[in-house]
Amino acid sequence: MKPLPAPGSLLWTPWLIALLGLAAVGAAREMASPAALLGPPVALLGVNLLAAILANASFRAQPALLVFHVALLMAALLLGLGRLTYQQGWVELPIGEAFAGELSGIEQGWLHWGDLQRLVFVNEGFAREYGPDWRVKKKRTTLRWRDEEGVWRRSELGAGESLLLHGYRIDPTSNHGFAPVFEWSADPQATPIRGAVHFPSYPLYREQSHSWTIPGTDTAVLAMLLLEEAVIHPALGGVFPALPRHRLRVTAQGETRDLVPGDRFPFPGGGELRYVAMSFWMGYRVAYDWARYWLLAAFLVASGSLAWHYWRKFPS
Amino acid sequence: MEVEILCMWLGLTAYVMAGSFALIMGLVGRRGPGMGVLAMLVAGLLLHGAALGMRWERLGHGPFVNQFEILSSNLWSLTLVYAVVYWRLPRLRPLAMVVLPLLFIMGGWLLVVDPFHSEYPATYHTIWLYVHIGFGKVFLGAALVAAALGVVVLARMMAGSAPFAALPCDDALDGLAYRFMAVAFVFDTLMILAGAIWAQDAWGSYWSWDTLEVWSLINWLLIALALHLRPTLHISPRVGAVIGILVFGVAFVNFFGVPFLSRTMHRGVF
Repeated sequence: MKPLPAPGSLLWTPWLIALLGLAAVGAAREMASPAALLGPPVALLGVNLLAAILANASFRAQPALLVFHVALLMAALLLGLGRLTYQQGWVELPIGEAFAGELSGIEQGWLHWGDLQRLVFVNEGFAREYGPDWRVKKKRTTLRWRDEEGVWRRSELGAGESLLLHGYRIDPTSNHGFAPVFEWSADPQATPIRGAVHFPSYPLYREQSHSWTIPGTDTAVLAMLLLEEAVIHPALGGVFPALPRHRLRVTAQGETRDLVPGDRFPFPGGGELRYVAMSFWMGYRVAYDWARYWLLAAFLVASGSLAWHYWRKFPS
Repeated sequence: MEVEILCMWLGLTAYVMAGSFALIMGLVGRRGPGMGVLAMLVAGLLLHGAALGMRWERLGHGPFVNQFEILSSNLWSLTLVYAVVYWRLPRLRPLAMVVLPLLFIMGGWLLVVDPFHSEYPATYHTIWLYVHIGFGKVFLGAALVAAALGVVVLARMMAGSAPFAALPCDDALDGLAYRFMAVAFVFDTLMILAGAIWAQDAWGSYWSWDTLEVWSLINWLLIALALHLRPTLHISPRVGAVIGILVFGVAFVNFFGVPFLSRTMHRGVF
């Protein structure tokens, strides 16, 4: 029986590359998590490469090729470490509201060490300009944020721009919507509780309704937004946020009322809901991944050294 | 707009004339395709380039959004890459008999695609678009030449060497294909890298495992595989030719098919 090639043999490499290709297809078909599928072939390729560097003198004699492969190995390691320590999630903030240190849809690696409580930023407003067929033409988001010295600063983010804060990256998402502000008074003497209700992302969802439960009660409320004129014209476009004439059709405890800002809705079973004003929420994606810049550097080194290798190999 | 359409038709006609001339000269001529083919290619590039420029000026954005624009701009860039190869590597001029018919097919396809006015997505307002697309065009051009060299090797095996007698032997063509594949690998790596940075800016994620990204990765791995197979298994020029054609085939589908079939973020606009 023929013995297996040594771990650093180039004979392994094509098979492992093919295995990595199969793992990529598996990841795309969501057969398992990308990390679980890609980890083993990448690790085996890493072992193969390290063994080749140690055992193969001709490999070491080609510095550009060596740098390319080492940079690829570093990139693979950084990807792995990055996945162990990343965190990401999203938050919806009404205009004027500060981030409270909590994210929705949070995902993070086993060894994440970031601290969301250090993030202090406020949604100061936003504008999305739409062309025909609701295509986004321009984006602008204004954030006020506190730096490491505790000084408040303001940033205006255009399309593709992010706020970098304490290692976190804050990106405005394409989701935003209406956020009517209500006050709830359980009885006339009680201090009203104020809060904003976030309707579904607009204009992604044209049907605007939302149900929630009054805090501290089991009273369910359903609100529908009835727009009396178009916010974004299908043929001409428009700008969001904009406040057209509208009513809120609110249903609670079997009774329905159409409300405009300032209207009150006394519930049959007690308590009163007041529609204060219409505000707007903006979605932000918050992500922590220290490895991304190192990863970029590793790939740039890999690309440069590969070009260098072939430049030397094929002189004319 | 009439001038724009006229320029495009004249440009495509020049490509067809260049290809027809190359075929005739290659098959029946004694000296094979010469500088006349290059002159026609350059004339086609200028006219087609003028049409692209007029569309760019008219719509206010580059030809990168819908299928018509992507096909048209890639036909132009592939012809440009090939014209440079034709000019700088005279030994490979008979390759025009393989490359130019493929470009005819793209030109024919272009004529049946709706050239409707595209809207420029907000995510395209970035320099990374140009970096990503620029690297991609060089990658596809290099992969095209590598595949065409492979087609010649296989054609010689099946139909004899007469039509391509002026080209170097199979081993030499295989070596050249390896060089073009290496260039394709460098630019494919850069294209994927620039695309990942752009994706981070546009969608907040470097990599989303969408269909186009996965096929790009598979294409990259396929070239890596091809480059490793030569020194390890010492594959024959014929096997190398098949792999080279496969690499270009996957890249072609990835450029002109997947974005228009995919329902993910990367989707193009019909």
